[in-house]
Amino acid sequence: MLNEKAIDHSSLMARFDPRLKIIGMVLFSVLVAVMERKAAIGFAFLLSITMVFLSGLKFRDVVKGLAPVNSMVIFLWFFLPLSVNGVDIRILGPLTASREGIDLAVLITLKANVMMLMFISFAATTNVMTAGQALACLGLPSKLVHLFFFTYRYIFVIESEFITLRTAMAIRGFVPRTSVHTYRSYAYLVGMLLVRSWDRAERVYRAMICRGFNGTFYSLSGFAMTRKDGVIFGVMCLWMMVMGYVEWVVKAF
Amino acid sequence: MDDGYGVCGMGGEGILIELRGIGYTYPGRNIPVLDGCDFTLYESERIGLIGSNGSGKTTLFHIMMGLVKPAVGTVEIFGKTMKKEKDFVKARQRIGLLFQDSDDQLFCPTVLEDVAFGPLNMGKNLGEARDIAIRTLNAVGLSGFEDRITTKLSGGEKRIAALAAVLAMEPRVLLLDEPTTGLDEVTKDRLIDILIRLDKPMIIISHEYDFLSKTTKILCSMKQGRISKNGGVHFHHHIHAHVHGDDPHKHE
Repeated sequence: MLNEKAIDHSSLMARFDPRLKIIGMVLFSVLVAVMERKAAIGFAFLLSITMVFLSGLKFRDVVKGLAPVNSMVIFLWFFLPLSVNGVDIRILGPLTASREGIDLAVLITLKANVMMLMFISFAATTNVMTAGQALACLGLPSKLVHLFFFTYRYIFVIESEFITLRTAMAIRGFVPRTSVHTYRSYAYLVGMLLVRSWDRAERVYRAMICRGFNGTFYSLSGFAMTRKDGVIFGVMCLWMMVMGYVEWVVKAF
Repeated sequence: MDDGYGVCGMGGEGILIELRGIGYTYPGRNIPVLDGCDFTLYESERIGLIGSNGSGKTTLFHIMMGLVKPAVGTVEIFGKTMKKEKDFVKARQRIGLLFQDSDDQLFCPTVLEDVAFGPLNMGKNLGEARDIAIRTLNAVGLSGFEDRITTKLSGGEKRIAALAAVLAMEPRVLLLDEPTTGLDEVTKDRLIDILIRLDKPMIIISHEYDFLSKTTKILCSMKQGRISKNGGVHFHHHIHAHVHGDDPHKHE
């Protein structure tokens, strides 16, 4: 789903019921988001890394998936130690960082990566059609599901139209400057993109109607819950209880 | 299975599509693009439709499919007069329209899902839809393309996949809107081969006489909002440039 590769259907995660997968992922993310103890987050990491392992992903792909979230997190490492009040640690000359700030940055880094790992294990094993259908099954309004689905499909087409238009501008000598001409040209570009997307949407809709579309999507990978799905989901829930226990009950760690 | 469409409906012997007195004007224009247009497609007819850009060929297809409502005139499909959207919903399942731009048509992530989209909408179950899709892909020479991502196909592969998506619904009539646009010679030949093997009535819009002479038997042209059969044009052989030049090549 992220890198548009065909899904490897042999892994355990790929065969896990997508509805339970989504419920599990959402519960897990909410839980991790409210946790503050590093030990509890460590337990969360164990669960998410197990899920990644069960997805049969290559190490390289996992790292690639984590890269975007960490490129955001890196900014926190610049700002939090310098801006949060607390015990000062001298780093360079008059520059000081606070211990509390560093702690917070560590916590956010850990949480973000743990959540992202869980999301990767979901995204890499669920195709868009199935994910959309599972979301619809879970009660998400069909309009949102369609929006999600078509955004995914046509973002590339719109991008290629954008590149075509930009090239068309460039070959006629357009160089962006800080001028009214530049702003106007960019406004035309965006406007034209909107018009084209509108036309495209109309044509796609017509093409779908021609093939008997009546508002409902069907997925080829239909899902039925089995005992195995229940077991995996049960184990996930149990482990999340352990995480909660470590976070709020025991003080040993 | 009786779907309510007899081969010989009340519209006459073996008439599949009949348009009578169709008039249509593009929004914001004064001159109608279709003006009192009559057209009939009989069983087992293969018609090539030519006409200059903007002469209303695509609009004509869209009127047949009920995507565009004509200002005046009647549309009869399989002997039934189409009045409301509901009439067209049934008719569309039996007429396959191939769009000019395959990106409009291929919207599912993988080829298999896209080809199975029509059969699933027609109420086939997952297993049947999958079987039909695989069978259709094999028939057009795209076996092994099932899990390919539709956006990553080449232009030629997209066109053939879109055709497979249309054929998977097992339509009784095919409407092809400029199917050769943007295709290289090899893919064009492949398309010709597929179309010749199909035993179906069809209408093909194209600007290429060569292509039409190989795939259709009757030529119609659009002029001033009307259609005339064999409108002063006939197929003939002519001499053309030998594009391979001195490069070694084979004639098959």
